[in-house]
Amino acid sequence: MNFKNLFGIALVASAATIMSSCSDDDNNSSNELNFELNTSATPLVDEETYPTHTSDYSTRSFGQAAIDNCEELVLSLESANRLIGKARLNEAQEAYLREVLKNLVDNVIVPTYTDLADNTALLEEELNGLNVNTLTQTDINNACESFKKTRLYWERSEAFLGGAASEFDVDPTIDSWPLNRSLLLNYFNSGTMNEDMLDDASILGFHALEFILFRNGQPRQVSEFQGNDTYKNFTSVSGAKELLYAQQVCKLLKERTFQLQVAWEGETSKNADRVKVVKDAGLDYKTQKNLSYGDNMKQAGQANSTFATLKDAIAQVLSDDEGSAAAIATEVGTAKIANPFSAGYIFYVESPYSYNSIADFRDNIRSVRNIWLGSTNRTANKYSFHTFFASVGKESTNKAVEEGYVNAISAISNMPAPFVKYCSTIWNLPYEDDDRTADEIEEE
Amino acid sequence: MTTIINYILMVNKFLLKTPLLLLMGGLLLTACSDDDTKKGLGGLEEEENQFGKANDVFAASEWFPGGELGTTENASYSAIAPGARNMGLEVNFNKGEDFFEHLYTYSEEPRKGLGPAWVRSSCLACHPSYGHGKRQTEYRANTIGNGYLLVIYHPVADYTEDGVRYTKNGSNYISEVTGMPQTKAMAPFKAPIDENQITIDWKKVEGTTPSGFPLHFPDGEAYELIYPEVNIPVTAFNTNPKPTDYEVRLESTIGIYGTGLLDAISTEDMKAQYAKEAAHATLNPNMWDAAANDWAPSAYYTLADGTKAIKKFTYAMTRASLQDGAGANAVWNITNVTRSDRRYLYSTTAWARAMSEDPEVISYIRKNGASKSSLVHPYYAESDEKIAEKVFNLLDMNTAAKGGDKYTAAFGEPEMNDKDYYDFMVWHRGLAVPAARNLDDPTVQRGKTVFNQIGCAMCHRPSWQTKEDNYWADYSLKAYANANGLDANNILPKFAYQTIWPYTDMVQHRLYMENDIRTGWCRTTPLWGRGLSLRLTGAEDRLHDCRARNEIEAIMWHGYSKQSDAYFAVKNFYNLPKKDRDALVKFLRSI
Repeated sequence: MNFKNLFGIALVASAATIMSSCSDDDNNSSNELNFELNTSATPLVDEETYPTHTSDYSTRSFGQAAIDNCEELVLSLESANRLIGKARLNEAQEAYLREVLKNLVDNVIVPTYTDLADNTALLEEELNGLNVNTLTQTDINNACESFKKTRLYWERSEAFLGGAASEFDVDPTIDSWPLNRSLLLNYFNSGTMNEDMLDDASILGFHALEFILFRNGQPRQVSEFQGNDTYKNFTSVSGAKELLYAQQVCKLLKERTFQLQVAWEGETSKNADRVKVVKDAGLDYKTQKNLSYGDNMKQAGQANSTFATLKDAIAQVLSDDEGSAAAIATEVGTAKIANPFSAGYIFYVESPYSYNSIADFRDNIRSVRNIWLGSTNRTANKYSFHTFFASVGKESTNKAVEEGYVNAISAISNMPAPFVKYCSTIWNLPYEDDDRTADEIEEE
Repeated sequence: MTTIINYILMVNKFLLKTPLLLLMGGLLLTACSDDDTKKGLGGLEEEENQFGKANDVFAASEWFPGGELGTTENASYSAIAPGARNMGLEVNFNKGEDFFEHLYTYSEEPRKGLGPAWVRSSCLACHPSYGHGKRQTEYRANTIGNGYLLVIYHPVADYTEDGVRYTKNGSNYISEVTGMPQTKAMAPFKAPIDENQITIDWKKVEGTTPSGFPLHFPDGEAYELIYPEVNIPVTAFNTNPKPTDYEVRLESTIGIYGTGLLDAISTEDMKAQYAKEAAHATLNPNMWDAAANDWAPSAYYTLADGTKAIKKFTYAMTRASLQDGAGANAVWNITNVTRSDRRYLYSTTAWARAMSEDPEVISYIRKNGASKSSLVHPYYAESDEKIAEKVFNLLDMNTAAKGGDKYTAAFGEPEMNDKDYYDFMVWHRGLAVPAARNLDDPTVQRGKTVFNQIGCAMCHRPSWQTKEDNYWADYSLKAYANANGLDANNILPKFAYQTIWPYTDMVQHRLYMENDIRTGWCRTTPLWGRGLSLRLTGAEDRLHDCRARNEIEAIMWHGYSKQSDAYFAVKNFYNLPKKDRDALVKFLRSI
């Protein structure tokens, strides 16, 4: 898309936005508030897709650029937070920023978790419909596609892990890695799969599903499901048992994604069945003061919110602690990329079975973009940090943050894929997913 | 007024900069809205900021509880301290954080070596969001947020004059399970304690406290006091012999940030505090010899290289250095992950014996252990008798003296390498204390005045000066330093000559609560950063077993018996007007 087109669409969008500000059915607008905003500045956004780069595996500059650009993004988010934190907010600014938080909950956080929950439910349905006797390669390929789609929404939620995800420890429960393969093997070998087994997060979640569905970046072969696994030490484990396990893991994953959705959304007539699933699973979904996490954020500064002030809530969203937009950008740069790339710890590569790392990193940064724009569709909502800074004459802040996420996403995409091969080439280490020592391989 | 000016400025800017099409958008807006309700946002003006400035009640340094080198201005329990950043340790810090945040596994890099028995499979499990443990109604090792350790001991009990039962020094841990008991184990082993049989009942104090406080203040405002009663039936123990004559308490984690700063408090300064308090109070005779007005011999802890140092860490005052403190030990014993200077297991002989006598254990190893790639291969032998012997010998290798090296040798290399341990300790020592908040608020200022006036500060000593911070380095750190040509005494974050505000005297006191902590003696817990707990962790349970759900309950538990060291202060608090009670709470939430 060229710039001119973008501009045209933004104009239409901004006109539409302004029009909607006085219509009754707009969920976002408050009856009393009507702000005069600068919606002329089109936000910088990343491309919808990036080509996969499959050459230059020994060129270090790509990885370093990804790390450096993540750091730039972090600095820009911290600086944006400081600007708000140190400002004497006037009445309009304060009222406007409340709308920004409200919009974030209603138009970014809840929709992302709802998409995550919807897709996990679909994936579960899909897996439950599989039977090893009638299974085809297309079935497996489709399940793998569904897995990646589901995974995308999880990665796009990591800029707002603060709140329900961190307080209910959802991250370690559904995204633990590496998969504790020897424990998993113990359980497969012990014959029966019991509840105790499904209590240990090190064999649950996305990476357990990933292990059952993918190997070496590809969907597994149908023959493995119809016979036995071919993975080291797993050769006596039948594909039927693994499929059953995947179904059980996906059910638990679904419960946790429902928990995230209803914890932020609160109970509604529409999500009542999901609330029931969460309750039946014995999971919490409210703050200690009995609020939804959405209301907890919207009510920042009021007695029952965990945020003593509006600025506290904004600091949590943008930069202060674990679970903020800056925190995920930090983690992508300094841990997810740097541990394998800069330090040579190849085993730190997340998603080693599906080779999905670069997409994961990119979606993490897109979750930062969504926080900034107050939307999930690459346009700026009229109640967003983008529109706020444009309307208070701080275009430079927008430029810094938006160049920050665009450059980070672009630099991440420039790294040769799969990421595990890139890091292995840089460090001249074997990258196959195989933890055998040379001696062990010889022995066989 | 400012708003109106901003509005005019903003409109001017808008007209000058906006292209025609957007003006049309603006017209659309005016076409359907009432002009009077439109608000321009104006510009961002910097607030006159009181942060970091002294006022009538607070010194400027009180905004920085961890001193300049140990405070983060973020509302965070997980941030790197400026002192660590200044030393160029950020990469190590970030890598060390990974060991804290993620789950350990049996054999997968980078966090391998879990088992054969363990207390938790991750640090985060007990320190949710880096903070204090959360109150639990059941004990499950896999529940993240369950920061409880089971404390199982032979009680030596007595009663206060107002009838509160308590246990005394000499109430030693049972020896059948580890001091921090394990409720998880790797197949085929059975956990030393079957956690499904543990019960936690929460009971409520009725009527008045033994010290005579009704469960409401003179103005009628009510409060509650609840406390846990924990039971583990003898059938839950997979040991031989099984324990007898024991009782159980819970001890929760506290936050981790700032522990590096406490390590930098000097022994001389601690001694001065002990001497000062000994003049008017009875201190733990295990720490202070009142007659000699000096440290008791048992106040010294012998570190791995023979260095003697005064105990300063944990509720029970059991550790003398952060490099041999709760975190440095936990990453070995909570998970049972060996490292170069701890090649042996955290286990007991009674458990090793029970496992070696269990036919299910033996038959599993016979069936699954022949392959070299099996996790239980080191226990495998030709006959059942020999398997039993191997099981006993390996699981009983719980000290260096017992040939602990052979344990690690049987499984290959130490499970956590020196570099990883070093990074972990950089992270541990390098965690910053969050900056104080709202110290310019008159209510918070009043709170501080009340805190000092009623006597809280006698034990919750507000401030210390750190000294040169020549921390002690353990063998693993030394091995890493030697291998890399570094000085082990200068590779961890240091916090020399800082004015810090932890609100602890580093002394143990007795509160004589119902079902109190083992021995009754408990080191005064630091208060810094606790006010952010609800915001950062979603919970704010307080006291050693999370029995207090808010500051008021925590304070009133301090006065449960007239014999409590804090009774006089609680009596003052109880009689404060509500406004002052609230001010005190707001102060606690701000530091």
